[in-house]
Amino acid sequence: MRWQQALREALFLGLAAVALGAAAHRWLAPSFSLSLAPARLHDLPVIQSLPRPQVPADTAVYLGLRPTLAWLQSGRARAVAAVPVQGLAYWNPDSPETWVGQVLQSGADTGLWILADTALFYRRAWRLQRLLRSLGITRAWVTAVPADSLARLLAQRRTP
Amino acid sequence: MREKGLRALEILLGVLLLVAGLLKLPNPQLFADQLLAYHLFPGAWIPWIAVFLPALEVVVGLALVFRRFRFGARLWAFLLFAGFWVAVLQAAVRGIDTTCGCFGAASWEHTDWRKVLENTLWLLASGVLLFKGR
Repeated sequence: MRWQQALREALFLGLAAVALGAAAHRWLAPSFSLSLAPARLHDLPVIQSLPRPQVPADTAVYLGLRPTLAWLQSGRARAVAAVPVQGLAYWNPDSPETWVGQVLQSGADTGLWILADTALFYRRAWRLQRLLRSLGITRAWVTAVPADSLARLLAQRRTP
Repeated sequence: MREKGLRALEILLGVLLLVAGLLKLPNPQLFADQLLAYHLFPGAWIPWIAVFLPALEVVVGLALVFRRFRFGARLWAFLLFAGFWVAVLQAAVRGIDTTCGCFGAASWEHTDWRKVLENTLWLLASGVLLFKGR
């Protein structure tokens, strides 16, 4: 292995990649912004296509994933108590505000609504939604809201 | 015989990178989303990686397949596979179960331990090519 030659060639290939990337960006994905702020990444089509029910003012509950599971098993959310949420949703112990859920208990309307602060977990959210529906939970929504909006929502909903 | 084996390995890795890059190149938005799910990079880096990493994969893949700038291409291939390995390993350790994003919209594999093992093999293969190839 000739390391000096390898480094020179790697530099050349890197420059070629920069040129190709710039050309691809210009011609194939001109609408994709390189300065896209992470906060805007929640605006994904898959998320936007989901229904966004309003948060009932009196029942929204702060949830991290483990609290979610405990809460689901507490009896307050009987219809979804058996849902193995823990195996499906990402839980970051450093940011328990990531998930906030809402169980709507009104007979046939029982369902689960999860808000994610961004679309980071939307694939998992889809899986969760599919699982809930497979279990007969017909009203299950997963949607995303901007992180700052979610923070405001959480601040409003937390019990004093 | 040994040289033929290394050449076959070189072509295999080249085709893998080429296909992965070509599938991701036209859709940086999707790749950016997949990168975000790894929780590995600062948000501001994501769009740049989403645009230029697939381009690098394409360039390196072509160089490996056609054996141009082969020392540089092998070095990049090793660095790329090392990066992929770290990304998937940290995701598996942290319990982040997301699609690997390796092939853009065609990605089906998840960041689980099986994927870590697979990436370990690719990393070893690229290491063999880098350190043992002529």
